[in-house]
Amino acid sequence: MRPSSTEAWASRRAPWPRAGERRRAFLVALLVLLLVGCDDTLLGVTWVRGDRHVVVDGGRLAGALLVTGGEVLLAAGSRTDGPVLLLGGDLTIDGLVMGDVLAPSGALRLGPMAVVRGDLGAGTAFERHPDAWVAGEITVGLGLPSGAVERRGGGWWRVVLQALATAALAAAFARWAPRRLAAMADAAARHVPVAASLGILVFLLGTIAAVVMAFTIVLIPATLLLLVLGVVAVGTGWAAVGFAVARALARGPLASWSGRPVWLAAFGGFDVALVLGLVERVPWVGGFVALAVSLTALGAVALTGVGGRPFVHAGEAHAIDA
Amino acid sequence: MAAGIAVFVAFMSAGYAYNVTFVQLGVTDLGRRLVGLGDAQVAGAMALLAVVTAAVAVAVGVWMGRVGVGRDLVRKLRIATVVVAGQTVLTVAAPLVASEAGFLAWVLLTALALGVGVPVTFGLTVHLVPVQHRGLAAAGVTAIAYAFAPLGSGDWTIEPLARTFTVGMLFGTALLAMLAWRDVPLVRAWSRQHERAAFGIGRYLRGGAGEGPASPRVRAAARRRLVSVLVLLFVVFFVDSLGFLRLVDTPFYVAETWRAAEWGPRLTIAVAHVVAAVVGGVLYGALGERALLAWVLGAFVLVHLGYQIDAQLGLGDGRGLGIPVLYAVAVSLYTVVTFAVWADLSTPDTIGLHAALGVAASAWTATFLATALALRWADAGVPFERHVALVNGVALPAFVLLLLVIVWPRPRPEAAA
Repeated sequence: MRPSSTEAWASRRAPWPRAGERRRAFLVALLVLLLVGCDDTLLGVTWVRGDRHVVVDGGRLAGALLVTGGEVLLAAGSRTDGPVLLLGGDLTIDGLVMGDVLAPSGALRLGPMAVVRGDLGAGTAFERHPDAWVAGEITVGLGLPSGAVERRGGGWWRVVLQALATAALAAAFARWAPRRLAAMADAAARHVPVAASLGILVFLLGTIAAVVMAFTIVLIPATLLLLVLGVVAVGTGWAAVGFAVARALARGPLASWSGRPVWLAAFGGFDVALVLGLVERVPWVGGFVALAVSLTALGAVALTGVGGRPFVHAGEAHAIDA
Repeated sequence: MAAGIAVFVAFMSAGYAYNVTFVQLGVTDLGRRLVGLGDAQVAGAMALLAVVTAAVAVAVGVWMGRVGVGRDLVRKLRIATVVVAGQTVLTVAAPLVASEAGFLAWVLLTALALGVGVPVTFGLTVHLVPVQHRGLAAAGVTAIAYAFAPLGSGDWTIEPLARTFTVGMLFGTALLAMLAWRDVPLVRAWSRQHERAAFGIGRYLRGGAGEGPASPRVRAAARRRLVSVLVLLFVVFFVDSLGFLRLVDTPFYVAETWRAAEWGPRLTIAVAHVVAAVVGGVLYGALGERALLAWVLGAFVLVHLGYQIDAQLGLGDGRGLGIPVLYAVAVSLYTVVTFAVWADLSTPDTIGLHAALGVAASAWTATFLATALALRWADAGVPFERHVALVNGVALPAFVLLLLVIVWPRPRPEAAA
């Protein structure tokens, strides 16, 4: 049935698993994630910051090796399972390394018995015995002097791509999950302080959770998943903000579009992403404004559970009189 | 209305800063350094402080409800004046305590003052702060109390703490005495505000159409919520204190953060407290206390996981500001809940008892039990990484349990009926 207005169209019921099933699935996923992180043996990083350490002949080092200072010798006949990262100090490899070796700073030596199964990247302090064997690609001269990377202008294509992606996301929500889009747009438009507050919390805890999980090595995929989810959530929030703006315009200058919610959503999503991309480039305040809008958008997504339930302010629910 | 909220915010923020900074941190220094007691003895004194405070507070809360002090603003102001005056004397006397007997007497008198002060001062909420603004008023209390703590000297020994607080408390005593004994028109107006529904009936005592605080359904729901908040806040305070007491005793982690010589890190932590307090105030009004406490427990889990990984791998990241800022955020969030929720679960007749149960029996008991336990572990030589792992052993299951409670499907009201 073709909707006659955005409100009527937005009230259609979206197909989705029952609430109880979603919650159970979420709980199971969460518990599995937490239990995986509880295993000591999976926290497989050996961190060397000083003194002299040797992995002896016949010794096996499970997990990754990180060296930021001191001297490390992986003796002939030793085996290191994970990747090796050298950020300072001296590292001599004369045994078997199953993963990559990356040494942008510090001194790296490959002895005659060294076998590296992965790629090897080294800085300028690199010595290699002719009998040392590296299966993968060798790159020498890694390491950038500080200040060598600077932000250049341009990148307009990125802004346009972001706007197109947001428009597509908004259109997809408008087509297949209209109630969700409407719920998120309502939260973003009518509860700005609440959405912004929750957005701050989600951003702060999400960022630190991603960093903490990354340090456990085993949860690096979860970190990547979290980052992807974060980007998608912010994009969804932009789409919702865009829809809220377009919906308001549909009561005025865009009245003729009110019967075409998919186009309206795409238009709003494109415009909001484009404007934010441009505003972000304004010195001093631009980044702050873009961040504030993005956090509010993220908060609207979180408040409504990606639009799964309309947000009702508890103050209104309890009918508090002034 | 604004003047009442301002007085409440000023009074409660000063009181909270005193209790958290001077009593919790100062008592440890007083017992250990000035009196020369061992960690185990100081831990015992802290436990005594917790038990006596809780017992006195509950007794005073019950008494307030029975004799009608909960509805009498002037009597509450007079009792508060006497309490603050007594605490001022105790503050001045603290650096002079030199014997174990003197220390125990000081602890008992401090517990008595706290026990009387908690239900009385929290009882002011129903006269001064309307339900609608309780979240933001609590945010104001939290922001002020915590903004100044990291910006202070960073010296948490008893002498400078006593000097700093004595000046403020003398001023506070004079102000309270004026409000309590002089005929101030504002006080006359405030003293009748609890009769209005906007002040006197807590947010969680409002049912649907035709239902008031006397409705059996509303009362039963409020009782359940009171119990769940008591348990949750006990866990939160316990986890916070158990972790923080060990952190402040680990110079590696505090030398460049909470006790940094430069202003920058301390200012960053103070700003985090203020921003988180405002966020907490807004969200308390919009979401309710359970969602906020879930965020708090989640934040504590992350904080302690961060410190644990840092200690095990020797990253030195705990000296950066990411984790301390998250810590500040978590602390500010639950403090907002603590200052707002008891009045929202109460009428003027029950605010004294509920605040006593919540602040004294739950929060103070958890804080001092955790402090005592932290001191015992330090005394037993438990290493830092083991300590934070144990803290996480409490925080992580509590967080998962709370998530279970929040997200587990519940029958809809009509289905239940």
